[in-house]
Amino acid sequence: VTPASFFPELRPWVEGLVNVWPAYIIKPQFASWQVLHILSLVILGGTTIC
Amino acid sequence: VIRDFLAWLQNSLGKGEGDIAQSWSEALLGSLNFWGLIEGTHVLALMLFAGTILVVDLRLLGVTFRKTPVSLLSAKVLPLTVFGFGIMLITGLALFYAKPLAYYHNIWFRAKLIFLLLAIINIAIFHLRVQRNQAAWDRMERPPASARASAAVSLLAWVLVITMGRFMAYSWFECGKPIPAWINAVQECALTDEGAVDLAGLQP
Repeated sequence: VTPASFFPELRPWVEGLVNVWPAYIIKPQFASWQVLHILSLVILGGTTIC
Repeated sequence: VIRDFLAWLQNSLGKGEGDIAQSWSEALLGSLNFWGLIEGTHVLALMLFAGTILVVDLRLLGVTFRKTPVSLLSAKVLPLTVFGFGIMLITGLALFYAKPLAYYHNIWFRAKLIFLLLAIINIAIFHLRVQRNQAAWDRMERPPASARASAAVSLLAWVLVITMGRFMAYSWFECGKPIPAWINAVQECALTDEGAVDLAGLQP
């Protein structure tokens, strides 16, 4: 049993996400977005403690 | 000499008898979950380490906790920073140990070490020079320029260390691939088994 058994429309929808905003902006600069993601974690870590 | 040591670390240390025997480094890299757990711990420790540095640096810049004396904030936060750094160092060394040669010939890793050195020098200057008259500016909402400069350099250096660390995982400039000559030179690709392939030499 997979998610597609219950939601057969899920897979084509997920596959189409790559062509939808903001995916087509993020994908060419994926590594930079990852850096932003990690820096956000750093902000989260600091602000949670203090 | 460094490269020979890393090659021994990667290929020989802990290797038993037989054709399929693995070194400890190869076993770590090939482990099902252990490498991923170490990497996850490295990022979690980063939240603690860089997160607490961020808060102190923003206080020194006069942005946050402006009514709190710098010494009070440091006393509360610094033990957590040191603890986070300890975890980061242990997990970082373990991650390096899994692929020492690949990282040694990685331009982002080399840049990361330079920015790490910059951050450490900045900490030393802060403790030896800027902090000498801390009593005079400890309660200032906006500390003097020297303290603010030190905080700005710290933030910049750690952001760059984190950025280089993330980029290390990508194989954009792996030795053996057609890459610019200067990157081949910086990475010392000619010493590797994959060799140095000049991008300009392949273009018509």
